[in-house]
Amino acid sequence: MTFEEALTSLEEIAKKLESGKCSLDESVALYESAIKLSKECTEKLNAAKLKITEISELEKAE
Amino acid sequence: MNNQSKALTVRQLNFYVKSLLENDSRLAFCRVSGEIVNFKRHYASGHLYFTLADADASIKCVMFKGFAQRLKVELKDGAKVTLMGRVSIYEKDGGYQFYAEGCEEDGIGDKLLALKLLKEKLQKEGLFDADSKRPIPKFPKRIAVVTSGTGAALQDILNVIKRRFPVCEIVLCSASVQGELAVKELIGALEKVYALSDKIDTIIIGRGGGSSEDLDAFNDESLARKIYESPIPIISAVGHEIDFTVCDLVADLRAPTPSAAAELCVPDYFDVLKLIDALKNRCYLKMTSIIDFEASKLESIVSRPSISSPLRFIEDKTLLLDTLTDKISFGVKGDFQRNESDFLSLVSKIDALSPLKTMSRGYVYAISNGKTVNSVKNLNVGDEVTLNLIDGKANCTVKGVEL
Repeated sequence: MTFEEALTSLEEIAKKLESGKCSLDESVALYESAIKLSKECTEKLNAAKLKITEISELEKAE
Repeated sequence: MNNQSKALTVRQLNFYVKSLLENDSRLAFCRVSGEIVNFKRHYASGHLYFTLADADASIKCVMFKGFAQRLKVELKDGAKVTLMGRVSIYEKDGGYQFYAEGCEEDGIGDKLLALKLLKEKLQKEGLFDADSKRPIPKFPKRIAVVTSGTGAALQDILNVIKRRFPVCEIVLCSASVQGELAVKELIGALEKVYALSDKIDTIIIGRGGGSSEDLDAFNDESLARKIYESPIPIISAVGHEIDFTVCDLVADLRAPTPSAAAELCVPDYFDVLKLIDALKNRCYLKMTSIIDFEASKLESIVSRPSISSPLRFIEDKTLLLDTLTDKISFGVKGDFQRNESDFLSLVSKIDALSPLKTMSRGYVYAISNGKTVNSVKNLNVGDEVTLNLIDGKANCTVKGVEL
């Protein structure tokens, strides 16, 4: 999952929980996912080292 | 003149005249020849103030710093020049003047004109339309940077992105940004990037500051059209404070410097951390409120007596049972006792009425001829009478009767 996807999922979970339409079991499961995702995002952000590549490398990777 | 209409303010008057002048196409771009007199360079602002005069007339002129900087020819008193620019008034004091933008003697004149015409042409074609501008991706995974491999612009961009959002990847496409080969190399670089457009989210094309000649490439029509073709959002960052190059106008977004472009491209690290935290918090708050809600639901069910003290239910019922049982037995006994006492009183009544009791006191009843004798009148001398006493009978004969 990319950083952006993780962040978007986290936002969707927050919205779902706030909608109040979930059962207790669902809510707990969603909350667990939220914690996991936020941890993932933060780790990705903290661990990131700017990657710089030449376009020729990207072309080769095609 | 209608004396009853409200008089204009000076400001309104000046504004009106200014609009008149600026809306006149011949005055919006014209060329004037004359001799420069009373030339002054204003040190603080860098603007040039002078008067352009010929034999019959003169007009006050100003040339702003940005345009003045580009001059190769030195303007000074006595110089005979043909200036390009526009006519307007300075609203504040109603001063009518010529705003010079270039000097033909410079050789820049034609170029300036050509540039103006190009901008008009492309605008008419709709290449500058706001509708065709795409939004810049918020969290790019890959950003392509088209600029000089050796310039400061690249370093600026890299530094900003490293600081703000190192999660993304930068793809470098070097190209000269000035000189004869610039346009060709820039177009070539863009084509390479476009070929990989499914892997790239945003493009930054630009360069640091420079003289107007240095920036020429970014006013090239073919480069501008190439930028317009971009399949992905593209930011133009040509380091030029005042003027917009054609590439700036055609791109999805224009940044005044390469660093600014980088800032527009990626979110700030701290802002993202705050966002993650805020989202987490929302989940946490909602979760705790859901739990509290369910817990209190549970509590209210559990505290019902039927669940919390089931024995009491039984006790209650037992108590009820006992009470009823007591009632019953009390009732029955009572009845029985009442009956008993009724019975006994009846018995004693009967007893009292019973002839046996009387007879035990000595009374006797007599039977004669099978009938009970209750009067001496019914008796004759010599009759056979049976006397019944409490404990037996006596057979007797009547000897005499006495009333």
